[in-house]
Amino acid sequence: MNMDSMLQVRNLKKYFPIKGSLFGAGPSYVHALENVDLDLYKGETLGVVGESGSGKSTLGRTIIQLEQPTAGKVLFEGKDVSALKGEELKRFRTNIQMVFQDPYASLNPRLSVGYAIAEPMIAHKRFASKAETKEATEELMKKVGLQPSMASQYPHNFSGGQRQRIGIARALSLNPKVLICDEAVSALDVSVQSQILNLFNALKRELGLTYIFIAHDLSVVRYISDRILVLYLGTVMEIAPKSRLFEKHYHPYTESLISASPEPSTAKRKGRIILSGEIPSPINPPKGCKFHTRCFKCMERCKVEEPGLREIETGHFVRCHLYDEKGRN
Amino acid sequence: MREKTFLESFSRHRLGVIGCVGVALILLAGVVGPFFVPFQKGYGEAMPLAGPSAENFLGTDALGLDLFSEIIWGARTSILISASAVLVAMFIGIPLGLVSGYSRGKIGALIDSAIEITMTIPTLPLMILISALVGPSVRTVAVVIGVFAWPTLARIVRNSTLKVSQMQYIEAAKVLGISKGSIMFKHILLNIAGPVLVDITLIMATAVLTESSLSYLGLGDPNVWSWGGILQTAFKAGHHFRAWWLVIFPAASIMLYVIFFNLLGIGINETLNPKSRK
Repeated sequence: MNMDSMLQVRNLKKYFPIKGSLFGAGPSYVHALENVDLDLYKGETLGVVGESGSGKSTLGRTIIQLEQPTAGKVLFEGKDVSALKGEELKRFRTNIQMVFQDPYASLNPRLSVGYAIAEPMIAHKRFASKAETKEATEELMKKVGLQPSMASQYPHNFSGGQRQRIGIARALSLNPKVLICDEAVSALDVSVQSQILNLFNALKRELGLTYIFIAHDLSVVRYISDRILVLYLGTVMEIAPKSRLFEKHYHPYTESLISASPEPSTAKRKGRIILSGEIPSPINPPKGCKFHTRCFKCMERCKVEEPGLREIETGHFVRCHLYDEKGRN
Repeated sequence: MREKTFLESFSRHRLGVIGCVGVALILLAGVVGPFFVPFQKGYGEAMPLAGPSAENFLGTDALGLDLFSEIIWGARTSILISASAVLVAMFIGIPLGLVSGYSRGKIGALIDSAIEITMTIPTLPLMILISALVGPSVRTVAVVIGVFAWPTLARIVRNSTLKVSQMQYIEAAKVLGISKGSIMFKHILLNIAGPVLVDITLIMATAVLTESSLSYLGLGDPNVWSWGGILQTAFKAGHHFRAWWLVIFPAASIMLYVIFFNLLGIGINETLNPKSRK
């Protein structure tokens, strides 16, 4: 793998203010992201997993500037993009695009599919003539497995999988380098999921794309990713190359996640770790390690002191006191 | 299963279809009618204040003019005024509603209070004042009605915009670098066309009521026939005791105009939101 880091996230924080009640003590915040650091390498697929409420969607939305970070930076090719406005922001949009979760809600029902795909190219004046735009639209439709003759139809004539293909074609219309897929297959049937995942892989090879693939489904992330980032309450718990993470995970949270994913064979089903309780409220996250309230290996120290993100092996980072000394416990 | 198109669903809404047919007839009478019916002026050759007959279908007025012709030309005036009022209201209300609903912030709050303040103004007295000052003419009446009809439209556009801008496809458009203008005037406007259309039919109806009120008060354009004006002439001269047709027919015209446009609006609204139907 080429080790050029094309996108860097540094100390990214995102707090959403909640209106305090009349007699409440000041405003409170949803701590969606806490000091997230990550590097995205050219040509890789970075999977982001976590429970709902872990901040994985917020991470994608903040990287793509749908949300303004509360603190921290997002650097794309060495340039801070978190404060871009107007024309500069518009130009940045051509670099990173997004495929949305809901194929039904992410297409405007009143615009034809062909127009939906062509509109970004028109807005960015990619081509001088209408004929060229039309040609490019048809090319994109073919690329994602749609018939160009369907361009004049409206989204309600398409199935969920086809709509997701439309969403992908639209995202590709600006020739992006990075594609953020926010739960891009979780709304689809399992059989359709695999088709779309294969499409993502084929497009990556063909166009040299880099993906950030956000999902709650471990098997999906396992299938498509090169590296995996585990997020819990807006904090990075573990980052590792896929093969290593599934082989040897260090963080108790990752362990419980992997043990909870369904296995087709009964022989492997034993030893499932069931976490007690719910994910704590991000409005009032626990002190110390974010995971200590549910951790089955919790120590006294975890309740007061937040562990740092430590590189255990090359490229394998863990945030856990169990691995504070170089060796293991 | 194929989704039913709007027209297929609408055709099942009985009241809506009645309204639609009624509105079509009114438009036919007011737009095509004047080409076939002579404009009444001066003194008529018929008997003054004669009841409905084969020759004068709806009777004659105090000057011996044909009431049927007056009503047809009155329909033309009503359509002209209410349609112009709608255009004025759309021209002001749609952009303001879109901007206040989409960009929120300070500008949104400013427009919002402008809407609310304008809505609290009692319109009829103010319209009387303006018409009296500027002088009665079709154009004045149309503009004045439109200028006071925009807040309801702006508010409907604003509320629908608030709802639509939460949709993922608006976010997608933002990410794709589509300009604010295109997002508002294409992506959002196309999706709120339904409620806007409904409000337009209601403005058509209220505009005619207002126009009739102004004419009845003697503030209508004296050079055109209008339903309110016919009523005013009849009442001023006390003919409503002797010639019932001079009251019933113009009043019925106003009423039918309002009812048909309201029914059309109800039909469109309930077809678009089947849940609002009891």
